[in-house]
Amino acid sequence: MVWLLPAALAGLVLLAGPLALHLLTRHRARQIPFPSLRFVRASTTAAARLRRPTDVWLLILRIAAVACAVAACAQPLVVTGWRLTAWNARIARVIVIDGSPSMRQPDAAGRVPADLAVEIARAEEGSAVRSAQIVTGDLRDGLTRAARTFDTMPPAQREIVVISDFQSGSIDSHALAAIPTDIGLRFVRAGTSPLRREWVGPAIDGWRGDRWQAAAAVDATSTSTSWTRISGSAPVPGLTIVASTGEESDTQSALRAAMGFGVRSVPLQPAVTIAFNGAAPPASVATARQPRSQPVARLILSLRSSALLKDAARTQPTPTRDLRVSSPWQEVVRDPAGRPLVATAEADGQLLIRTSANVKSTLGAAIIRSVLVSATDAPVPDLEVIQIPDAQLDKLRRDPGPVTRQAWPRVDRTDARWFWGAALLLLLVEGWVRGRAATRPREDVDVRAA
Amino acid sequence: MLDPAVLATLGDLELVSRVVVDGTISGVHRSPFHGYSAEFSQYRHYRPGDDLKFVDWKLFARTDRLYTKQFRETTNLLCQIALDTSGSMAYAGANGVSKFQYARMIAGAIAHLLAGQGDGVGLVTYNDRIRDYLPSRGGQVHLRALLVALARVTPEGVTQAGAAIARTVDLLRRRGLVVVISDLYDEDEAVEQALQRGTYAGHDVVVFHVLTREEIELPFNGDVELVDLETGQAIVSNRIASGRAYREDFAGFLERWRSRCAGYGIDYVRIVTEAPLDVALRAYLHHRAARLVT
Repeated sequence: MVWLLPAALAGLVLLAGPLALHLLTRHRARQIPFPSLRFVRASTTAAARLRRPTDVWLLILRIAAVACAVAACAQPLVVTGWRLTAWNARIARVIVIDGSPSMRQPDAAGRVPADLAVEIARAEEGSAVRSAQIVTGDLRDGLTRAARTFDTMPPAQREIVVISDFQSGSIDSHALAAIPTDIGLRFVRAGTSPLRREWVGPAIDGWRGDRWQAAAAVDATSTSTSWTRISGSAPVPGLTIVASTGEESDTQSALRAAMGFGVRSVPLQPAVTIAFNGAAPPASVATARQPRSQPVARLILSLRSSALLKDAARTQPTPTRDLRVSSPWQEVVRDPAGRPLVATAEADGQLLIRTSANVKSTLGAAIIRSVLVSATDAPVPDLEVIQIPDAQLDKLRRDPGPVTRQAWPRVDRTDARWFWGAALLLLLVEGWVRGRAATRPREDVDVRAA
Repeated sequence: MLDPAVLATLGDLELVSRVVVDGTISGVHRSPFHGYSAEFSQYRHYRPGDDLKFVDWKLFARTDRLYTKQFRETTNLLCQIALDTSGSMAYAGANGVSKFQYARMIAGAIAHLLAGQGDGVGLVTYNDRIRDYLPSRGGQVHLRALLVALARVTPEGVTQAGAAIARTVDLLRRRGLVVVISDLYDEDEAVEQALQRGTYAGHDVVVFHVLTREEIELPFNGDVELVDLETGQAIVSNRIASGRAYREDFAGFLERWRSRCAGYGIDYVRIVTEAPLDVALRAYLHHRAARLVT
């Protein structure tokens, strides 16, 4: 027997209660008239009581009831062979599903591995007494989280099922070493990998004043990339720059400088309006409010962390006019003297930017560049085509071990109910014995004065 | 057998007395109580102290030996019954019959017996003083008055038996029978002296020591608070702790009274209230009759 809450056994001190009650309670001595006390000697009754507690059976019943209640509070668990067998006959399963971009690319048969993974996971869950799913782009992290998930599952054989396309490098024996040895590991491949993967990225505007197309191709033995000029540079959709009258050429110069190292040729998301020093406020300023939409907030955070913007602000000459920032505007960057240089707000789903810098300054070009880079960022998909061979996965596979003692405390139902039942039964018997003793005539002779 | 518990429920003391006597005397045709009357009974050898007027001088002249004439008592035996009515006599045993009820039935039976023989019988009830006194007389009217007095008295108060018994002895006009019915819870020396005084006065003295089984054995289990019926004093006692000493002391008490009475020629009859009344009384009367014959 094991106690899942052994601290509750400290409650056994309560056993002293009934014992002390029976030893120390002074029953009122029955008064009996007697002809003469000439030969009667007074007794040291307290000592007599200490030698023999009153109502021994009641005492035993009460002590047993208290002991059962305390034992029940300590959450006893009797681990019998039958119970161990039952635990070992069931299985708790955590299913780790690969959520990396490669799982969303059709395989050689045209099926999407992510969809296959969902079907496989559903089948695996059906045969487990308890299961959980973890979808992760990093299988190593998923395995670690899966091992921790078992801490909340009842005693059973434990198994982690990994469903993935198992791209090369996604998992290795080093990652599996952290998994306890009694947890089984099984690897289920979802879909088949294509022999060659190709990628064509978005056009890049501005580099060397032209538009360029980037592409990549990966197979089992080589990786090739191409960089092709397709046309002249085009205006960036979604970007509005407002400058003072007469600064049109400066504005174009600043835009060329900002795009000089290339910018993805995609519409800005969200649309951005930049108002430089001296420009008339755009009409949308009237509806400016604090940023609430996620794209706008994400873009503001990106601007605040832009190293380019911070470097430009550090070298920015003292502006001729201070930028007044009040609600709903939020400042993005300050000059070395602590004065705000750039402030942002949201208007009609667009990002509004006000700045005290001139469009022809370094900070002006840096603001435009930072907006273009942050608003057109997109990840390059994983193009790996080499998969971990099945033979290697078989080596990593292992069967679940028997239920260990460490799993016993997670039992879903302890044997406390039996102890509570025993305590209740003992209390009922105690009540019956007490009632019977109260109605039973004393064994002493009933002697009264006539 | 006459169960004292049944007799105690009858209530009519006269009826009880008659029932007891009728059941007791059957087979005992002559009175075991002998007195001095004109009806000659027998000769016996003269013993110093005998009244010289009962010496048969004619027989002495013929035989040169002294013989004293004895006469069968017919009507002139005087008996005085001293009944203890102190509070301790109210104690009832397991059968529900108190010592006083038992003692009262004994007194009624003896009075009925003697009155039936034409003897005189009187009654003294006492606790720390004499409560009722009926002189010793014969006749059914007097017997009825005595039984009524017995029926009315209730046990109460403390005991001072010595003075009461001594007074009872003095109230007998001539030699007779003194019957003391008590539990003898008093100063032993005072009672002993009073009984001794009765024997010295030439009376036959009979002591009925009435007890209950509980007084002898102290059978109470556990802790009990014993309350003295006379004084109200209470003592918490435990049979386990003090029962054995009690029984030893009480046995010594009984033995002392038996030896004292034997020493003074007093009939000492110990009666436990659970004993059938007729059996106890008949056993004593047979014993007395046999002793008188010898």
